[in-house]
Amino acid sequence: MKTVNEGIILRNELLTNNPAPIYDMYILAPKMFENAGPVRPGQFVMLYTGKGEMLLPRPISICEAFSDETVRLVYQVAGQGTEYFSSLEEDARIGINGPLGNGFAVEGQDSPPAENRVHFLIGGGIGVPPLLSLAKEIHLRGEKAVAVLGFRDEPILIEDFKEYCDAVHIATDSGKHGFRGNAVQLLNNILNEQAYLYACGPRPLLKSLCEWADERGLPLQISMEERMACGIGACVGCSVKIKSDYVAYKRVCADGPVFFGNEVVF
Amino acid sequence: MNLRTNLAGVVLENPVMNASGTFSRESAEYTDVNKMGAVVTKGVSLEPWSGNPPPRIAETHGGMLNAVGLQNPGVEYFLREELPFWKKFHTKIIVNIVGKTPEEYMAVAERLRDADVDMLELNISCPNIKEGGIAIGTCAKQTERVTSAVKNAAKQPLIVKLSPNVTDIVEIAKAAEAGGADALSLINTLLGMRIDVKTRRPLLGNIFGGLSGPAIKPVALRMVYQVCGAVKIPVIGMGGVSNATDALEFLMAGASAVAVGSANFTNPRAIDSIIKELAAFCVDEVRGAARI
Ligand SMILES: Cc1cc2nc3c(=O)[nH]c(=O)nc-3n(C[C@H](O)[C@H](O)[C@H](O)COP(=O)(O)OP(=O)(O)OC[C@H]3O[C@@H](n4cnc5c(N)ncnc54)[C@H](O)[C@@H]3O)c2cc1C
Ligand SMILES: Cc1cc2nc3c(=O)[nH]c(=O)nc-3n(C[C@H](O)[C@H](O)[C@H](O)COP(=O)(O)O)c2cc1C
Ligand code: FES
Repeated sequence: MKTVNEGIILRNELLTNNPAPIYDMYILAPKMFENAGPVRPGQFVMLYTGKGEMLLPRPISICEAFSDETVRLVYQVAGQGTEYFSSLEEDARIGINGPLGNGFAVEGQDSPPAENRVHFLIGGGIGVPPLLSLAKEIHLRGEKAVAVLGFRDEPILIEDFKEYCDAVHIATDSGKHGFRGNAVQLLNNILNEQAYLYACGPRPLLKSLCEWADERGLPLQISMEERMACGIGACVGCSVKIKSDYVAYKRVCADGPVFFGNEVVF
Repeated sequence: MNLRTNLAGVVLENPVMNASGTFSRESAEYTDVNKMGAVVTKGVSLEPWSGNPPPRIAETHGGMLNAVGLQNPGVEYFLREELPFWKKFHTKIIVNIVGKTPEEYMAVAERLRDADVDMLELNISCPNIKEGGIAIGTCAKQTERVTSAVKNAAKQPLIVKLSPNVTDIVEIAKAAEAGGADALSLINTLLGMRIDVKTRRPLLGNIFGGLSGPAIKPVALRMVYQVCGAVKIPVIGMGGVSNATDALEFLMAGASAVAVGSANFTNPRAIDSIIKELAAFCVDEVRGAARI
């Protein structure tokens, strides 16, 4: 039987305070991995607060997973649950369940690696972390990963992405670092070849990217976010509208979080 | 320890089941369904329903709001895809049925006549749909009328699920009993809302949603106590049950069985541990009892 496992916090460090506190947390949870298959990029975990006033677990994407026992999560303080997580010190215990959801499928993953295949990873803000494990997977396959990452003001994880990507392009709203504008505007300036697109970020960014990719006929996978109660497919709370004339919604936690760009109705 | 429970002629191995809408096929990866007294399906309608626009979930202090709006793929899909899955387990199957009109409820009950399920649960208490649901369950006359119509259409014993959003729950309970209900279940969720002060907008896409979880337990317990004192048919108690002590409170109030809802989200193994704790409690109760 699957269960919520006890994880041990190995590290929980502040990355930046801009635009809100963002933390880099490592959780040791070997038991969790025993039950599950290998972690796929884009999957997430549920973190349980164990507090009576905060009954619902919080979904956080897996930024990286190491040797089947540790997960790295990068999260922004957005309310009382993430505030509580940020207060946890080394050796503290936390309930963790995962990996959950479907994750990204690297295009062509079932055929032999092709050196000339190019994958573009487009991230916005706190949507950037889950793309790191995707970059790693593409890199390990020996194919090309290019990251196009947008932030309000302060970039995060850039050195990490450089390790796995052939190029890392940065955009900031303020223009403080890199291109002034968002990740889709930057992508528009640099992409002029056939490529596979993967994205995670705020809804407006994903929406404009879907339109952009659609116009160019480029295949796009996007990771969606919705409020969740269970995270395992039980409550039908985390719905995302899809193009269907049967039941118009799919569940982000169990059917996603990754969907095809041309499948979602914004 | 014997936890066997007779519910309107249907014998459950123990008095613990899930509450409708909080337990799916995926939940069976976490909870041993064979050990459950019964499994209760999500609301099943005649045609597929898409439910409400997101966001559908909002956390509240010690509870949660949901405005799912009974999204479900309909009775034909249920019979084809979902029922065979539950049939693999040794437990009783209760199908929660929903409709926008009395005729729709009847049609679902009719369609399930030949299905291998043990009981039906008539959901006339969902606060998240505009027609049917709570519109029926808050009116004694309509409750009696729809209960008796569905009872006539149904082959299996009928549980009627009551809404707490009423002035006098006893009046509605008696109406369901008069309509021919074989059992009652209560409570469904309490109508509530939240507002996001940053966006100055209601947090839920549907504006209102149903409150569930530990926060509603005292209200649920009071209503179960009142209803058990007023009807002769068995009652399934629910509302905030998250551990064996909560379950015992409902049983002590007179409920024949209990259902576990939102607690499945806080702990996907909640039902397993409640059943284990209940059995242990019963053993502890009798151990050494003859030694004065
Ligand atoms: C699949 C998925 C992956 C995610 N990955 C990350 C990540 O890697 N890093 C990160 O910083 N954030 C991530 N998020 C967003 C993160 O879940 C929320 O920021 C977090 O739940 C907020 O909790 P809180 O208690 O601090 O906020 P509160 O506002 O106090 O939370 C109240 C309730 O609302 C829910 N909620 C609030 N905001 C969101 C939101 N944006 N999305 C979903 N639920 C929300 C909470 O889970 C909780 O149930 C992800 C969300 C999803 C759905
Ligand atoms: C997400 C969610 C979905 C629900 N769906 C249904 C449903 O389909 N039919 C129904 O009769 N009740 C439904 N309910 C109500 C529960 O079955 C139960 O009556 C209520 O949540 C109170 O119990 P709890 O406090 O243990 O959750 C739902 C509740 C939740 C939280
Ligand atoms: S969060 Fe419950 S179904 Fe997705």
